[in-house]
Amino acid sequence: VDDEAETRRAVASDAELIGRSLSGDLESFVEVVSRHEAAVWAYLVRRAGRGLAEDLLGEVWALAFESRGAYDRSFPDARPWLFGVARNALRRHWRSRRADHVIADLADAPAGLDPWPAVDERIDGMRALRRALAQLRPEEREVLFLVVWEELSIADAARTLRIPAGTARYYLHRARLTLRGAPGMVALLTESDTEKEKK
Amino acid sequence: VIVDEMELLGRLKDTEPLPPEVSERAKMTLRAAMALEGAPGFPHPGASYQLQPAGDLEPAARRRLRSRRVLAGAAVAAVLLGGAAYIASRATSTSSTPRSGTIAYLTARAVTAAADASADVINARTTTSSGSAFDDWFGPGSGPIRSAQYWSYGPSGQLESDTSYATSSVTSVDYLDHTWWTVSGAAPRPLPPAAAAQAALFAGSPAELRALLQSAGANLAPDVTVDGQRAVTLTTTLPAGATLTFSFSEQSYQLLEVRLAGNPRPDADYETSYTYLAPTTASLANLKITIPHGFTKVSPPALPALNGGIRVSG
Repeated sequence: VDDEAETRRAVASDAELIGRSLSGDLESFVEVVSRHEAAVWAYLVRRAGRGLAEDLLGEVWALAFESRGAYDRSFPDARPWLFGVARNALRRHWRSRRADHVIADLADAPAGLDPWPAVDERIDGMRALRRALAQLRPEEREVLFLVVWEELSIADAARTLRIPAGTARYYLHRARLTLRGAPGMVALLTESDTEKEKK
Repeated sequence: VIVDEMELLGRLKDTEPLPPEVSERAKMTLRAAMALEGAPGFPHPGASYQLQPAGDLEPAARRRLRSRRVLAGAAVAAVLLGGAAYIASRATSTSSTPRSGTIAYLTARAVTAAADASADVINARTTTSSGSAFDDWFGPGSGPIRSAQYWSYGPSGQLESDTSYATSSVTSVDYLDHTWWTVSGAAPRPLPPAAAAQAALFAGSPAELRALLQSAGANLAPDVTVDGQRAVTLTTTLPAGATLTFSFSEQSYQLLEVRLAGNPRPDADYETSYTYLAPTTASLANLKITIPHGFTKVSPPALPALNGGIRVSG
């Protein structure tokens, strides 16, 4: 059993492990999960807060396991795909909440409404940035966070969101322009620049 | 001013380490989903054992008694398992369900509560429309596989049999014949498949619960009282027209009750109530089987395969 676990760990590609799990070696999928659990956990916590992340992490693994047959094994790294599964789990959760508590879907969010309480709390001290982020379209913000927080390439962020890479690049460009031009951002960035100079 | 707004945003990124217990619990949910995929069907322990009675030397009266009990148990198990398989297949094939109400939220909370209960001793008390009753005890353990003890009572209330599914053995006491038997095997898994499956099915493994709760067409009813507790119920209709209702505590989201009603076979309806106990000396004692003084040890009945290489010691 130890040899088998060692063999799985030695397999370089997530895609290969997922393929092995489809052939009946289910433990290979656990190895994929072990490789990315910290990143997916962080993804959930940043968007939904720790409490909900605890509730959803197992759900994400189960959903990923059930849908692994659809994984495109031409991509060796499963992390963007797992982020996509996590995102779907979050969307399902938000849809299921009562209408008077949350919006039905991120795409339906009215301007200025941010359904991500964890994000709100974290950036309370930077209201200008918060207001600027609220001006972004959900997909622009998601690309921005995937690139900045989850450290994905634009191509991998596109994989997560199932959109063309060119579109993701455009969203990121738009997001950056919006942030730069938002009220209060100049002062914030100047202050930030000053802080940098102090260092 | 030349400042990178992405750098500014990056400063808001904070990283919270994944707690080991959260990681373990999430993987438990994954393993339950795996178990569900790997176990397409399984018999109810009571049914599977009693459907294979001992040899030809058994008295006719004993066979009659057993057959009545077997029919009830088998019918319950068949309907239940068929329903579970059906629901699981529906849930798998409709990955975007459900959209309405708060079913997905209830599912998430109930699955988490089920995972949280894995360290508890769980008592599942079942009464059937045929008059039989079952008192199942599931011991604490990791994942959906748990030690289980199975009791059954006859229609008149007397204890008929008492069976224990331990790590690598099964022991059963027949209170009607005043006999007992045991089988043991060098099982690679902690429990015989039937007992493990029983635990997964009745004790609420996360994957099983999720599959059941996310079935299409389920109806949610909040603010119900079950056994004196505020509960949320979720009802789904099985192919044969029977309704399967799950009740969850409004406070803890633990499964309180499962009820099957309206089955075409009138003796196949049942109701199971769940109780969650901390693993104390007293609660763990319910997992132990007692062989009454004076009972005779006999050869076990012909059993369905338990883990392949089972060793029988009569």
